[in-house]
Amino acid sequence: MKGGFISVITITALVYLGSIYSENISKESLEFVQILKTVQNEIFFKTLSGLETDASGNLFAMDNRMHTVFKLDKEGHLLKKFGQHGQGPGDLMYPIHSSISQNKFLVCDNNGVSIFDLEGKFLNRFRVFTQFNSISVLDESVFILHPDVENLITMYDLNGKRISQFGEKYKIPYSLYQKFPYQGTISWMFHQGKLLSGPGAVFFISYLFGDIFKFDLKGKLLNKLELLDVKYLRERKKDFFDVGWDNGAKVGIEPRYFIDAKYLDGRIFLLHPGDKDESDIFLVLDDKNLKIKKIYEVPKMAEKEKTNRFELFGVISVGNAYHFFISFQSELSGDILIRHYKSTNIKEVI
Amino acid sequence: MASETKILYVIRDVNTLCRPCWRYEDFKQMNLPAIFFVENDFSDNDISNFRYSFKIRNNDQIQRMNYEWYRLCKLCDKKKRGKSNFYIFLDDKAEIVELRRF
Repeated sequence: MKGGFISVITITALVYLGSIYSENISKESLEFVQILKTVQNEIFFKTLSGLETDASGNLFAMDNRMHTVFKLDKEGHLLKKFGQHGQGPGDLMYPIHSSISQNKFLVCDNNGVSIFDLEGKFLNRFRVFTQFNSISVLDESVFILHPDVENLITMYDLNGKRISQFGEKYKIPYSLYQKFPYQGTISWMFHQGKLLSGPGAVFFISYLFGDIFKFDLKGKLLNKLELLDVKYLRERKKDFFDVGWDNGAKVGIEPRYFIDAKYLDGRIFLLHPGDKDESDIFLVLDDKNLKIKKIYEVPKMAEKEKTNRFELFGVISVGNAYHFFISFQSELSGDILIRHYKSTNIKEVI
Repeated sequence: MASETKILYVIRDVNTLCRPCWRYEDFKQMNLPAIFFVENDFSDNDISNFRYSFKIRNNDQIQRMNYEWYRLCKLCDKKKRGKSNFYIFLDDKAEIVELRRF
């Protein structure tokens, strides 16, 4: 939980998807719908540290520096906002991670984990006293990724009672651990990622190495996907795990290969950022076997106003289409905005 | 430091990890008993997580702060930074020898 004010700057991964393209995976370009009317509704985000969607298609945009969660409809109209700076019940203090279930919205901040219902009513709070990289809620269970504890995932109940720990963390080579210039952050860096949960399973998506792990709720590793076809990731892993600092491993604060991930209806959506000359890419994985089923390409912004800062997304399915809501910061105005895209046909994925 | 001296290690905020301060390990090495005071809205699970996360010895107490301790913390927090943590030296008569902020 250290870090106090945590700026949520996303470092763009200027890398290619490699031969994922060359495999026989269908690829589709998303259709731009609109920019949500947040600015017209006088909602000016200072940062965005979380973006979630509920089953009704509403968005929950969490602002780290305003200590507030904004509930918006699909058009960007404000439905409700909750949270304010403070340490009391329902107050937030630099919220940094969020997760949503059918009827609960969880926020990790410097106070601990606050639990709200989807109307913003404060329900409960518990404290964990350890830094966290991600949170996910499934029914009555809360999964938290602590970079500083022994196991990858700690499972709590909604009252903060520690139930179990599971998952093997990356083994940080001793030479890196000793000589990494930002020693206090190395475990945090290795385990940057997102926890997702679906029926009977918890997933860990490594932002740094592109790995996807699937556990059952008892902590057994069921499946693992490594994007070994991607040369950039192969080289990164080699530098991190094989070469070693003394032999010239080029290790620093590395860009993330994925910057956000979501779970929806048996599918895992992974957002891979492109730079200004590239498109952002969504990989869609089957949650059962972790196979890549589809690639969605986000159209490049015509007006060249995009920066990748604060890039997060939420996804819903409406009828036959997936609808994506992607946040970004406009380079022209500096405003943090949310773009709405949709796919043409969901059935191709299923 | 007299052997009778107790150290009361007061936690007012969970955001303690970055601070250059006496760590609990130092207290343990000196074999001094410590009492941790936490905000009074801590639940039992919070206290359990607190003990687990900071590896607090079983014989060290964790207590919710009462009004008297709030008053002492307020004394320490003259600059009203609000987020600081304190440890307090008491003599064997429970008189405060020193308040120190970190």
